[in-house]
Amino acid sequence: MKRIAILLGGLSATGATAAGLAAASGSSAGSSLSSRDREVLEFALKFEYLQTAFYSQALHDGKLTGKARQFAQVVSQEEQAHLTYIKNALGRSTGSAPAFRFGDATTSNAKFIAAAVAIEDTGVAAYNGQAENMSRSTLKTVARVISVEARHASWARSLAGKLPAPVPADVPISASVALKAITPYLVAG
Amino acid sequence: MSEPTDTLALADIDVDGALREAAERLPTRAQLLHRAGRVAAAGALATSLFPAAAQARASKPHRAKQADDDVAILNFALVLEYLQANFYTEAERLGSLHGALAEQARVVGSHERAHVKALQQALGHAAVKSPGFNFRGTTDSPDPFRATAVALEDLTVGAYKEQLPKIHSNRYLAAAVSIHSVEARHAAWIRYLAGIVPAEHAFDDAVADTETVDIVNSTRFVTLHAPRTSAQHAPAFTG
Repeated sequence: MKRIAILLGGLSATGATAAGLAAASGSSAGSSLSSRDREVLEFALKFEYLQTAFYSQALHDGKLTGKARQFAQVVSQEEQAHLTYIKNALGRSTGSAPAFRFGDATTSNAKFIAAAVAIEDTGVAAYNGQAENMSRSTLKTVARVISVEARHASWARSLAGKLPAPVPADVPISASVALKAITPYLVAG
Repeated sequence: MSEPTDTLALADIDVDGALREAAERLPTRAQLLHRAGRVAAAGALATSLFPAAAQARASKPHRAKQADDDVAILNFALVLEYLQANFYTEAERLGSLHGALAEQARVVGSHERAHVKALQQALGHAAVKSPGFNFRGTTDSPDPFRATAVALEDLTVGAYKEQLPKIHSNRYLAAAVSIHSVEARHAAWIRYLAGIVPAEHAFDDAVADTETVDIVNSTRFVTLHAPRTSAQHAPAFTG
């Protein structure tokens, strides 16, 4: 957590100290964000909520074994950390978590891994698709998450027996395509 | 394939070689901060690289400086890609890897060569030439290959991450982020094959340029010698 507070310095022109203090005091670290950056971060938050919910559900269901279970345990913790990190980057209250449904995707190793590949690959493509839409300072913050999502995708693909890196350059997707991709998991509010 | 030790002297002289040269041209944070308030002379390099753009931007010379910065960043990335491409190409050529590891070397090698080609095309005449490499035995047996590949891939992820916020051109940025995440996939892939956690931390840190240069130089893989590997015969590497 200390590391996260320090790294939020990337968001602020005044540097790590001010941002660190803001994070420590619970005040708005993201108050200086442009509306565009805020929009991108809220989009990212949606993905982190989805991923966190997916791995929590999988671990809660308790049907995973072996390497799939180990993967879920590690990645679950990291997604939880990403969620907190993006919330902190946004600074102020970000509303409540959306509700998700994962059907039978968490009921067996094979189904879980297949869903994990789809969710992680989509996450990487969605984050990459937003690179040009955010300021460079917000990109600096978010890039620390993007490569970890790519590691998760690669790891899930290894477990699925797929090529971990199928192409030389990851193809980005737009926000609308990304949101459409995760629609099946969203419980209509 | 390793050279006799007594011929390493020349390589040792070049420990501050190609990568440091590329790194020295990178914009510092201070330069970036003062960029807006500074009138930079339009660079001849930028003009020749982007003739149409230079014309359109004639009244905004700082744009030319931005183009220079991007060229330096892409060249820095290109040297790292030369390093990786040569590493995998040589491992594949020596044929000492088998099974999943051989597949990793083959696929990742093709990616790194594609990255070299893409960066060379983006840079045109401004692309730096490939230095020579001596991988000191790490490409001719599985254990050192695996360990070296983990180190190279993890480093490249951090090195790219350091460049992303400094890139001015959105077109270059889009290409760089797409390569950055593939390097992270490579890193996780080889870690998985090495039996170590593919995503060890919740966050990947950027690696400062000077640190990247120091780490690469500590391997003494980069030499002044002309490439002694198959790369010598591959037109893609000769610019």
